[in-house]
Amino acid sequence: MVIEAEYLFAAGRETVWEALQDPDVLVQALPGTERLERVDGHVYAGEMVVGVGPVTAARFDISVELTDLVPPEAFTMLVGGDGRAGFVDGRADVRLEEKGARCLMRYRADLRVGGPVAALGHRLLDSVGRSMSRRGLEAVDRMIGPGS
Amino acid sequence: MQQIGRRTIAVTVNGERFERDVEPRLLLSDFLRHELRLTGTHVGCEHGVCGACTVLVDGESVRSCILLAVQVDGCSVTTVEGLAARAEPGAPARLHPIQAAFHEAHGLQCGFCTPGLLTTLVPFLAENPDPDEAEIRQAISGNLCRCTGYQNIVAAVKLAAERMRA
Amino acid sequence: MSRPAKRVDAPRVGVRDRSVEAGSPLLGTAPRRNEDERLLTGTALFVDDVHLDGMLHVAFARSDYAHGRLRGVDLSAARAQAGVVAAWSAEDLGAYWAPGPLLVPPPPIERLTFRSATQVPLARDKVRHVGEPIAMIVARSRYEAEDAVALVEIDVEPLPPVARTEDSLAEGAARIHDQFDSNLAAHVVQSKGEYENAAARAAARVGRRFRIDRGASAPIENRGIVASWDERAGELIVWDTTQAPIPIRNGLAGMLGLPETHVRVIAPFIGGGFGPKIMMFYPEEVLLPWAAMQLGRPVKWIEDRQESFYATTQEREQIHDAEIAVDADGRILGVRDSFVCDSGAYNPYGLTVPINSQCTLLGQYRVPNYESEFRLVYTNKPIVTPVRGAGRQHGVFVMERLLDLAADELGIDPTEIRRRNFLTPDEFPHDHEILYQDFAPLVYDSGDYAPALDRALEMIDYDGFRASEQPALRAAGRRVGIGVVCYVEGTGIGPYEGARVSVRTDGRVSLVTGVGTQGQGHFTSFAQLAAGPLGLDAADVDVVTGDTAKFSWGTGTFASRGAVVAGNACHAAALAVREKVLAAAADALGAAPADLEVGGGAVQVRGVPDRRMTLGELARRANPLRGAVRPGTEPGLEATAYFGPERACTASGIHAMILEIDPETAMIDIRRYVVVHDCGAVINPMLVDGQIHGGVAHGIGNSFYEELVFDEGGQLMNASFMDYLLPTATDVPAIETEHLCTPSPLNPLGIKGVGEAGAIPVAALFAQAIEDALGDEAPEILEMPLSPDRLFALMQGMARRTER
Repeated sequence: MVIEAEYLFAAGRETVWEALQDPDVLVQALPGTERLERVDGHVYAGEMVVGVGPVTAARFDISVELTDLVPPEAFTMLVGGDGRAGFVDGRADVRLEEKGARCLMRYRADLRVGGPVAALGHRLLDSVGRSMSRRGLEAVDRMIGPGS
Repeated sequence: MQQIGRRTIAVTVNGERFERDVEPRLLLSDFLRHELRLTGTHVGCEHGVCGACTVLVDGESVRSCILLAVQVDGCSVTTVEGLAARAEPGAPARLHPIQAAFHEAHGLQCGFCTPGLLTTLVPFLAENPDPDEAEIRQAISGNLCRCTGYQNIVAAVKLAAERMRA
Repeated sequence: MSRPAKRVDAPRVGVRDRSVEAGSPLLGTAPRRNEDERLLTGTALFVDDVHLDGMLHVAFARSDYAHGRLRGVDLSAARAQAGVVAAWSAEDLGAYWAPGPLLVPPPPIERLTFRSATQVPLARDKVRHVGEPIAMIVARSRYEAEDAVALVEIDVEPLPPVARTEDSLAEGAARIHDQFDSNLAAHVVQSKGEYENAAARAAARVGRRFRIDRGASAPIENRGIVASWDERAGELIVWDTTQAPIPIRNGLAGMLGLPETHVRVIAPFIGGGFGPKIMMFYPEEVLLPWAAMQLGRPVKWIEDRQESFYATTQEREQIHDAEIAVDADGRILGVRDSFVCDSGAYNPYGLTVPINSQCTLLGQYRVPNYESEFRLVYTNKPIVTPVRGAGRQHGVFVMERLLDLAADELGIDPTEIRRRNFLTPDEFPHDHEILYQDFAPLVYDSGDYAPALDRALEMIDYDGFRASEQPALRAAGRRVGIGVVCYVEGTGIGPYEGARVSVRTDGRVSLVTGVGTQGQGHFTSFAQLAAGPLGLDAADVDVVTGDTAKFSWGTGTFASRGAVVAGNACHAAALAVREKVLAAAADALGAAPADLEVGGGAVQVRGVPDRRMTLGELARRANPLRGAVRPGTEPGLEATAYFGPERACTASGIHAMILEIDPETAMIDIRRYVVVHDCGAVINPMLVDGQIHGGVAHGIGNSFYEELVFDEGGQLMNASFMDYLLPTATDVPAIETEHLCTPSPLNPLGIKGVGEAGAIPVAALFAQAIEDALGDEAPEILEMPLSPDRLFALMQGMARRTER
């Protein structure tokens, strides 16, 4: 499943970049994440609960790693989730651009899904994926605010 | 894992009253089949699509695989075992006209989907005593059968309707 | 041009065994089914209805990955879960862990490579398809077992999966079985004549790539097993939703180190088989009995629907590159076909499916030159074994499509090109010079195809439709098309089946046979065969099937063989009992056997009503409490007989359909569906029609609604009935059937099989009819299944092309 989209933040690029390094902000970016803690450097671990169609409360152990950081303009986020309802493996390549005083984020996310969540929720994966990304970024946006 | 408290339910099934302690998550289909040993109701998919598990709750057809037993507390349930008239041991059962029509018209092969069809048809024919072929097919479109191709089932329903009108 | 159709109850011709005339008054009659009452009242026993004291419940932890190295399985949390009695992974099985047996070794074909890899009870070292079982949990309830499954920690290092059949042999493809140098499971070439020489003379050579995709058998009852071990008696009882209880019994006895007499396998009522329930030694079948013996308590496993999409075998994916060469009149000079067939992650069933494809392609036609080559490949998808049709639909699809394409190129009517190539009755038995799935040469026993085509065309009014109805509808902007296709089905293969018939002292007859029943009406059809020679009705015969303690020799229900093989054994046993009845009555009544009549439950001296004895009385006399049984005779009125055909018999048929396509939604409406079928002598026409209806419905599913969608990771995307669409009552039309009869010379009753017939030609028929409905600009339909989506896209593409 590939999702390509963009999002315009209220704040400027530097502020958004800094905020995304904070696990408390990253938690917002992944809706359903109950816990996300830094393990080491740019590696985080935690737990997430997701609903996709008939799979209403699938619990996943997740790991998140930010790599290929080119501050303040690009990074890659690797996400792995494993749980009873299956697994999720993905990467998102993110670019941050300046649009006037605001930050425009462009991203391309490529996700592999397996197990029951794929078998039962397949029809909805695309729309759920998009809506989750959208909601997550809106939450981050609200949290950061218009910035400095 | 947390121990979930059990609840007591009272259900009338095929005219007989039962009181049981059950886990809240126990499906109605499992309650009927394994708790009450009424194994005539069959489970084909456990997600409410195939219709094999259909029973009547207070006269309406419902899918027992997507209901919890606790949801029918105080209700009256009819399963396929409740359709034929009670027989003396050793004597043949006196079949409900719908059952008899299925037999006559060869409306069943493996018989696994059949109980769900019978219970679906009881309220349908009560409300539609003279259905045409399209109405019959529509009425059973929620019951999957892999054996018969539905043709003889439709014939059985027509035959049953005719007999029940007489 | 047309001959009147020969109805099934007309006198049969050409049957070898004279005793048939004396013994089968119930052949061709339609008594209602003996088994119905139990099924209708919900009192029939299916495997999940078995309840035993102390029974425990099993659930499996299965792989989420299609391909990977299994690094470790941690069961500690699962074992600690409340209600869990045991949890095992592969290493806990010790010496019991072993790959399953190869069920069907390859036939003795000269140009053959075969590399066998069969399924394992629990994954060890590697996982090879999504859903492969990794650990087994036993708990007080299925609910608690599934809770514990969630706690099993599985460490898998994912490997690149081979998800597409066409990628399995590509350079650099991940290897699924490390002992082989590639994912090739088998390579087979069969041929006769010399294709290239023949094709050089052709007026037309038409070649295409054809593709048919996977489908599930999807019986409404999932699989299930209950196993119970009695330590003191040293006896194991297993209830299993299998189509083959006797081979299961034999195999389990061997695996568990028990004598066969101490293992009882019961296949009770089964809610539909359709093929995958004859796949044997599934992991669960092998593990449940072992678990019962380990724990000393009965154990039960019932598959749930989602599991069934991975854990029960599937079938259908093949890709063919095929070419036909015809002369200017459309006569076939030769066919060449090269195809790839998907085996899934393992290959327990050998070459049955692709060989069926190879052989069935020849159809009802004279094909003087034929080259057929296939590669069976491993992929990281669930295992493939026969599903209703078992590869025959692929052969039919390819041949029928090639004929349609050739007809189009030469400007010949599609029904006419078929007629010109039909084998004629004087060409039987017809040797096609290649080997069939039963290891015997593919020799058609009997058939008469032109009258069947005539009858089908007459029933659907082909000429009238073409001449007036279709043009009128087309002028009104409607997309209406007609299709007519032909097929054969090799049925009734050996090795053998048996039956035991006995007259009881209450005057009823017992019939016991080894084959099971999954809805095809054996309690009635076999009863008819036993009742006939004994002057009784089918309702007077009590049939027992599928219990190895009651009958111990046989194979199972598959390849449309039950009626042919077991049926003939039932009949033979009944004839033998009839001889004993006559001898006993002759003795009791003081008359010669030739002067006796059997009927109405009694034997009587002809013309002397008071010299009469009921069958019950004769049975009592035959089992004396005093006196002696004469040497060379046996007590009772009982006989056992076996039947094994020397090779398959060839059933055949024609399907014709008129359908309409909604130009806006691409939804189809089947206006007429006609089947003219020849399965030789018919035992019970009502049951035969039922089989045809069900087969056609399955074929409609495979053509238009059912498709198993795998992504590039080998993940199944639609493992539920919400997204895997079985045809419903509004999707299947009324089917008009007619029977013709060319009896088989290969068995005394002249029967041929019919169980799979309905499903075999439907995809080819859909392709032809849809192309016809879409008219001259129609895209070629070379892939199945279609779906409303795909058809819509094809129609959009068409519209764009015609606009230019």
